[in-house]
Amino acid sequence: MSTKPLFDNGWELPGIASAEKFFPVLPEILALPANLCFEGTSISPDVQSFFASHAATQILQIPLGTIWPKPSVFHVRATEQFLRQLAALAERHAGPEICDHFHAYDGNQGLMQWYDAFSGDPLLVDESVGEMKVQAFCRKLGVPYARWRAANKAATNTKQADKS
Amino acid sequence: MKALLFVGMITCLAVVGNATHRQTGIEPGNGLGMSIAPDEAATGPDKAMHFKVTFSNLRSEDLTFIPGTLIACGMTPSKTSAVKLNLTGPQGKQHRHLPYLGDGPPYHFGCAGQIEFYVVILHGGESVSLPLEIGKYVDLSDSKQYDGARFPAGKYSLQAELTTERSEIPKSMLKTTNVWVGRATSNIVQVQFASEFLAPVDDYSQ
Repeated sequence: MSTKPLFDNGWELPGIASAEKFFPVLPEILALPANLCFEGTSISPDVQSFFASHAATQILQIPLGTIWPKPSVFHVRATEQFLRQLAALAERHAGPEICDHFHAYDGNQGLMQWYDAFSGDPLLVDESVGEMKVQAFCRKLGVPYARWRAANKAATNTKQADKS
Repeated sequence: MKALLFVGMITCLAVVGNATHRQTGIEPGNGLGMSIAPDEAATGPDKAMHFKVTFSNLRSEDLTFIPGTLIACGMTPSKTSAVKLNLTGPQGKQHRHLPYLGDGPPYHFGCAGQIEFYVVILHGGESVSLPLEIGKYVDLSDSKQYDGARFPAGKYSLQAELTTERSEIPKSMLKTTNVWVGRATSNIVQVQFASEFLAPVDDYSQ
């Protein structure tokens, strides 16, 4: 289950639970147009049709987030209009009916990585997005943010537990 | 549910728990013995799906190995998540190397956060028993809502297997610790599945 992250340093934004609120403010931190990747096992048919109508060529390889059942994956080219329409769809769908996992990228540059989107797990944002933008985005969503870096740079800590 | 892809924050905990010297049913694998037995302490309607895997150090010197995880990012951790299962069905059909999946379906494993391996150090002759749930390897639910490999109800032979290759061990650990590599297999026990169950794939050759 080891996979490299899309980027090594950036921001983590935990607690985002509403797709309806998330997509309208996404342009605050994401320069558009950008490529978005939606992965899910229970994406609603109308949402699937919407994604399919905005399909874009997959440029970046995104590691799948679900082993089984086989997920549906859509790569789209997102504009502000696309996000407004998606937000309208999200008003009448639960998070998993939009996607389970969400990524954003521009060319070969990963910009956002979010496994278990809308579950409360943190949205990771690449460091190329400035703190002012992250701060404004988080204020609108009412969530905190913190510096994040890929964990493989962390020190190893080995200790001996008590024996019984 | 957590779901992040492993990036590698590897905080290795060396844990020695409930060490004993029981060595029945041990199949040696490069010094590591392994056996499986029903968990007699299990309760509830699915108690027949709960087992204990016992690892034994058959050497005289310390043995360090990694049977599972304490934090597994995208999936529910288990101290025996590195263990794979070999099932042989009622008609003799083999289903090899079924991997740990965690809670589900759906089974998520995407991860960009922390993983902590469960690292066990056994002194010479010591053993440790760890829990293993079959329901974390196959879908025992009645819903059968997803397409997958279907396994008929009936009596199956079950064997546990732990294989660790050097490439699977965190580099940070290799610098300081001589971690067990090899393949250990357990004894075979019988399991009765009352109804059909599913898994993503019928058989994994590796």
